[in-house]
Amino acid sequence: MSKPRIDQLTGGYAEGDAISQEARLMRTMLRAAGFESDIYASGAHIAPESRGDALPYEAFAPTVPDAVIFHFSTATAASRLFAAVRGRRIVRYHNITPASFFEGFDDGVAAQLRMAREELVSVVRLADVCWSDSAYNATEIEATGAARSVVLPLLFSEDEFAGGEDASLQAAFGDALCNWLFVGRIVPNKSVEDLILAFAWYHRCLNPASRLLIAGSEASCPPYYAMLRLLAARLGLMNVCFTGFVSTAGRHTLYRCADVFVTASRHEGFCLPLVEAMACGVPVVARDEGGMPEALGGGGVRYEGLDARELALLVARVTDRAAPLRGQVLAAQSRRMVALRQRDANAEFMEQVRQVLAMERKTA
Amino acid sequence: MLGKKAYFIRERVGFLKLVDADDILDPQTQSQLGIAKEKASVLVGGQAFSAEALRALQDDAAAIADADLAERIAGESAILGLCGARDEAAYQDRLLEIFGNRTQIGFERMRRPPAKGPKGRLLEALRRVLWSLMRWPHDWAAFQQNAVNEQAIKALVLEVRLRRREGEALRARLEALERAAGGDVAGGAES
Repeated sequence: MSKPRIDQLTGGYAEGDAISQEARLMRTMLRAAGFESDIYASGAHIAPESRGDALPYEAFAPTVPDAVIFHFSTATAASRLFAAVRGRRIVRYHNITPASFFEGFDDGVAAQLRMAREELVSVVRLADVCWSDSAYNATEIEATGAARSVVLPLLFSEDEFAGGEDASLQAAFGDALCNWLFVGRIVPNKSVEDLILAFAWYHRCLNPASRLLIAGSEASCPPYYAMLRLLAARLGLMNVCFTGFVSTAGRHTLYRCADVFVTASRHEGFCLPLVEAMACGVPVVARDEGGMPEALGGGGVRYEGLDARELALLVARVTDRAAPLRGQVLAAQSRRMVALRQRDANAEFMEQVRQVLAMERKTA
Repeated sequence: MLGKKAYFIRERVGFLKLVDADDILDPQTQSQLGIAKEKASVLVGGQAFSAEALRALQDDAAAIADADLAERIAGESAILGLCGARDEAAYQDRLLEIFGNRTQIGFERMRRPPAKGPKGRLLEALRRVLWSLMRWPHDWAAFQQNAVNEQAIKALVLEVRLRRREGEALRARLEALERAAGGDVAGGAES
């Protein structure tokens, strides 16, 4: 008798990407529990080094799996494949960036995101259950008419993340300068320009021995990246460093070099880098938006409505090792990490899988 | 102000983006009715800053002064204005305008960090001497680079203009063909 099979569909697949990381973790758990399981992504969006680890959509047979987990964050051809699935259909909702952020920078992506919002309604209608990675995302998906909605926080393996070091990044940034770190794709919803402006005040008026590290792929929106480079150059900020895409080992190294993690992002479904920073003992300062309060779970500093100088000063207080604020932030983050480490993600995930498999299949 | 049924909200761009603020306008007259500003708050470990602590942070921040930086940020508001481009063509126009105004490499405003103590003053004097010595080769290189920048921007503007003209001509030709074919060319040719 063949083993039961649960496959996953994602838009793309790459080593440092949060959705890919979670899909990989789910596959590991499923295989360990005796399931057959593979990940399928758009062939054009599988990173060269990950080919073989994820399979192209062409290899997916919709009639075979007992259940399919569809990681939804943008419009892809996977929606059609999902509709043809005969087994249980699970939507894993990671949120869709509002199209307005991309208008002007990339009208094609903006159109794709608008299409994704429309597609989400039909995909949710087909689904037996929707798993959202934050309550914030669950609210959105419930508004589209999801019959069964569950909050299953983004899965994160500290063991997988902790391994490896990047010697070149350590040599470049592991010096005595105070490092502000931002990790994430360089896209307009992340409001990286707000970080650059705040850093300008910090660097010029509060601590010249400082550096802003912006770590993430710039390939998703080159016109936005061009704007950021131009801004940093025209403000004469030589210590604003764009590292480009960094591997898991590289991210780990950057967290170790960082004095503070700062994000001014205006839209996040969850924001895994916040958890990664906390896991590495780096104090976090984040805008109080979207799913970020849930990711922080009582840890870190959340702000809203601060101008660039106010944010600079807030970060200065967090980076000041003698100031009580830094101690308070780190203590709160330690409590958050204790709670996260006690979470049995494997049991939580497998329980959801069992519940789905026991359900009566929804007829479209 | 609250008596109106409709309001037009316009996001503030440029250097005013330093504050999260939107203009509230009368949709008919476009006159400003007010400003909507995001309420400031800070939470540490899930606990909100008291009103006094938040006020103290804001007061201390307001006391941070650097006229040169403020002027630089205000002078580069056009770059932040790219965030407000309504479509790619508008973005491209704004970007080319920015490039057109910034072709020159200049070191006139190159900043020397303030010196502290006798060692610092000595270091600053040394920097001044080195800069004077470097000035001649630098100006020679900058002169050439600025000339190249200026011509490259002109070529880019020309290229964009040509492409747009080409696109418009092709669109006009397609429309003419559609009209000639009875308006159904886009529906697909019959075999």
